[in-house]
Amino acid sequence: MFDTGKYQHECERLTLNETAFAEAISTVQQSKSRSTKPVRTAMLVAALVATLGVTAMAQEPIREQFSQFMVILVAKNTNSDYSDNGYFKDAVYTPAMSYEEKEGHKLFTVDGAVTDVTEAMEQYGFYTCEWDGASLHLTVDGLVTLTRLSKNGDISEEITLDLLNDGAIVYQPLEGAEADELENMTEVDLTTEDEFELSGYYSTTGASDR
Amino acid sequence: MEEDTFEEVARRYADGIYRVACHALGDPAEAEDVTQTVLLRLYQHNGSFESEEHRRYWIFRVAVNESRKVLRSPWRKRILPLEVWDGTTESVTEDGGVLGEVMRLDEKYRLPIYLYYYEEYSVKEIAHILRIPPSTVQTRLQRARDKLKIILQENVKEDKGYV
Repeated sequence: MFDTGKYQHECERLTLNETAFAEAISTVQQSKSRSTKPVRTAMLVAALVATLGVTAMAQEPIREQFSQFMVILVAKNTNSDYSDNGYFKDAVYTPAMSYEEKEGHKLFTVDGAVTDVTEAMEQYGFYTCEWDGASLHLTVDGLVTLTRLSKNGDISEEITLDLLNDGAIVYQPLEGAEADELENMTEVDLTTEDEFELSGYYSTTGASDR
Repeated sequence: MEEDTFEEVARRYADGIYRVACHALGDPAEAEDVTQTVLLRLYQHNGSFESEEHRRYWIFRVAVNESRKVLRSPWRKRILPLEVWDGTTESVTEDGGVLGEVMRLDEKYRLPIYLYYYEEYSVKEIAHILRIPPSTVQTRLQRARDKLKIILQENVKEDKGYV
């Protein structure tokens, strides 16, 4: 018989240790001075998103206004649950980013703003900063994940890029994926190429170091 | 969020976040990482919360989302040794290890069990947090209870030397 009282008692003793808590607080405090400035306004983003909603090719004139990196994904599977017509287009906007090592220093560049992340990488193995209301999480391996949360705490945008490998997309969970059961999560993994096709990614000329 | 407020709130919810992540991932080390990420998200959160309950809901939603991100990561090791939890449950319990048995269940059963029996969320609230239908939550809770009943009965038999 499942003893709920015993279970609650045991859960009560499952606590985050003080060292981990202190480390978390320290990381948060260090993140304070790392914010990068947004390069666009919400209105312009909304306009861009609306334009992209019509067709992936319509982005060309607007793209030049931003120093951004854009990803369009199309679901190949016509039985996909992610849209009514079997195709799903999604656009994720990222800043122009690079991650490189110069004279023993690890440098992370976001929209032209260079940050020396050597210490963070040596101490934590990652570096986190804010960009335009989204978080950028860079690992020592050069993988950067952009995550944007909605008001309800849901992930509204997320993408992982490999900055040391020509900005290759690592995987892209699409909107709606959260509604899936955990065991079905691999369906939105771009590494399963039978499910999704990367139709293209673009960067403004000269804006990216790639 | 002001720092004083943040540390106070972080202290209040850190264990809850950690427990959610533990139940979702089954790995204490990954759960610590998720807890750190969720606290960072909380700190960076610009919007306000309508109530403490809204904040609590938001935190658990983010904890579930961040845990799912880890689960989806192609780098995540797919097989987690049960010894991890055997060790943990031994360290936190001396009287039966119900938590250990919960952690042996499939991951889809663990979070509903935790949110229902420990956090005392309703089925409807759990459905919102996990973004699955309430009927699915009900089914998973029932199946989890059935599985635990069998496992715990077997444990009792083993203790008595029947097996």
